[in-house]
Amino acid sequence: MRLSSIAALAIPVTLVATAQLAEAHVSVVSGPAVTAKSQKITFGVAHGCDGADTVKIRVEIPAGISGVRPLASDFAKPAVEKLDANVVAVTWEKPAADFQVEDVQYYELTLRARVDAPAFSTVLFHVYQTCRSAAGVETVVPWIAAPGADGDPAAALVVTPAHIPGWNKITLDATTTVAAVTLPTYLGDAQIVWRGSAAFSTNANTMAMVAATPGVTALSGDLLPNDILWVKY
Amino acid sequence: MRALVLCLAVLATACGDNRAAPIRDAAPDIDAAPPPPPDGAIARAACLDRPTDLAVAPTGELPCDLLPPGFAP
Repeated sequence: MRLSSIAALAIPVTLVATAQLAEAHVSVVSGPAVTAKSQKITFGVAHGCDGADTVKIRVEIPAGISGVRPLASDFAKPAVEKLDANVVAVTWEKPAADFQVEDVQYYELTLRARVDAPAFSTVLFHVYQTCRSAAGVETVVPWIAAPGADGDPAAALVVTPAHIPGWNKITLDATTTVAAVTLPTYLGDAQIVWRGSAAFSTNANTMAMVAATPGVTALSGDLLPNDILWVKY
Repeated sequence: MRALVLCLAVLATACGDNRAAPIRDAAPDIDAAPPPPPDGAIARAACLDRPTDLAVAPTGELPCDLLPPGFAP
């Protein structure tokens, strides 16, 4: 009998790991999402838990996300939990036969959903990662902490304005303020962003040209409600 | 040999010289770049008129394709 089969037959003992124990990381790896559009959102599971393989991932669906349809992956087939007609959580649980005695694999889990959250916001998914050691001990790592809070960070989905390749005129709505430090987060995939004669780019060479161009300044300060941006993607 | 010379002569006649050929129904030259400013200042504008003729940035300044529509410093 293979060792993996022995481990799978062992009675699991479930523990809840502390933040200090967890070295795994579950994050959104599909990049920024676009507001008001259905799209794929992929979670990457980079590591297991202290050498133990990941056997189950449960993703809770937060506000601002609707129309969820999970995809089957080579990790596992998904199961959905519903409240009324809405999917509130998706769980992928690996078949026992696929259990690995070591933490050697990278996993990706995808769902298709509509992103209703507004542009320039971040949606946090609470993800629960279950790992199982070769001895059959299960550990659950909750990835639920908000940015800056103690604990393992929730999987963050950055939401950007709807846009097309080329120039896009984007007007911030009357309630949206974008902190200057988050410009790379929300507009980092743009070639260049303009507000009046001030420009921003995450490309250092482009910013060098901004500095060398008469009449042009580097965009600094927060983006404010009703600001008009010209953004080239 | 005679055939080769004849062939070359026919080709030369067919190519001709169209530099002086009259242009009929020519479209107005709306795609031409504007004249330089009289004071020698560098004209800076988004390159909407000639999207296939993107400027390089030999001076290290922003090329026109990175300037927004209607840009006026």
